Amino acid sequence: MTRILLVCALLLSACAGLSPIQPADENRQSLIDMSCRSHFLKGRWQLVHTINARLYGGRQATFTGVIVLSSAVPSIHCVLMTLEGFVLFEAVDNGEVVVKRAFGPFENLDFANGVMEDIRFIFIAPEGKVQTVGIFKDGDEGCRYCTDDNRVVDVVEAADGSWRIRQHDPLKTLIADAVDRQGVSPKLTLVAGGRHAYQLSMTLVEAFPID
Amino acid sequence: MRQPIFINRFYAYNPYSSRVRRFARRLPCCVLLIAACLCLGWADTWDGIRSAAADVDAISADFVQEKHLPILAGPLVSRGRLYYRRPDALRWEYTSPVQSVLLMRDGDARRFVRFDRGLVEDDGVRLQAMQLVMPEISGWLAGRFQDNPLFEAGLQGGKKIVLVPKDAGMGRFVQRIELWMSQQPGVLEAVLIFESEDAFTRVVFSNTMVNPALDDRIFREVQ
Repeated sequence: MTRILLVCALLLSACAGLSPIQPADENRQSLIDMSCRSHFLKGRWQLVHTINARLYGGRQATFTGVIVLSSAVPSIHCVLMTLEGFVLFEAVDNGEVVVKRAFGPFENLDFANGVMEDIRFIFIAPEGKVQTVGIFKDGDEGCRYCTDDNRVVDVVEAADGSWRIRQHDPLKTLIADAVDRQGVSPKLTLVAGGRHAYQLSMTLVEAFPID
Repeated sequence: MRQPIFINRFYAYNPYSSRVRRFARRLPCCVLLIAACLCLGWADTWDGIRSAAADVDAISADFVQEKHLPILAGPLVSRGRLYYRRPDALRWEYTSPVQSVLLMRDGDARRFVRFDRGLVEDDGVRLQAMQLVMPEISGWLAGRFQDNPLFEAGLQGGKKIVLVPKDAGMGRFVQRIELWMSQQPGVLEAVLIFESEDAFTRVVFSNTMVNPALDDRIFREVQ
């Protein structure tokens, strides 16, 4: 319930416009900046999640998601399966999204682009410069990025170690539990607003860096 | 803007009108029921299978499932337990890494998945398709593999049944299914489902019991 209320609050605040951010003292800025960057994976990783998708209208479906991503290149290889292990969708993004295997509604490049966009949003640091490093109106510290395609993305860390990424237009918010020993958050909730709102609740099954 | 399109497609999707999804849902049943037939003392002929299948009323077994994909550094391993009771009651339960329970009974199917908020019913498993699957399962129980509309069945060496899709559409989804018998007569050892040569699922059964007493609640309640 707390998480649902938090999601609602975040959406409402986002609808109200950009949350003001007060630049931090210079000696504090580098620490906050480092903290913001720490929430994104570095190097090559394999991640497996159980993903519960709640769709507009209240329907929901559960999948297993496998992601192999590299932050350096960057590249993403994504597989969506039924819980029984049948591959419904597989695509690679090495600068261009290529669908390798897909069935039914997944057999669509727009779907593949949307999936890759969500994966980048969650796991890879926003492209573009950090505009402001400081303290948001609610007291949480964080960073405001202005991406190369003029989106504003805030990375916000709460006092309890949980963190959020919120993008304004199109509205999208990630709520993440504090990271585990590996630096990976065990629970992620992605909320996308708009006319076709949806929510993805991702529970980490396994994560490890790949040499 | 790509996101709305993605979501629109997602939302508009009725997964149970898809043949692929129907097959994904029915496969555990297929595996189980073929296992049931094998558990009766496998013969080298279809007549032998039909004859043996007549005595199977129920089955239970543990299983370990490995998912192999080229992109994975190692297989994804899941564990669980299955229960089947004639004519059409099934419980296919994963206990790790994430608990999920598929219940099928009297032609209806429900699936529950463990989340923080408890075992949550997955709307996706309003399996109208199961109404169509049950007659097929009954056919298998009767040992009529050759009547299967989806797969061509072949016996290989008395140890293995190979199921090959009959049409190209299904062939895109599953290349073939191999059913392996253990040394112990009548016990199925493993099932391999090949989506391609390097992408496959292996399910290995153990502690298989034929005709155990199964409480009706097993097929009704998730707990």
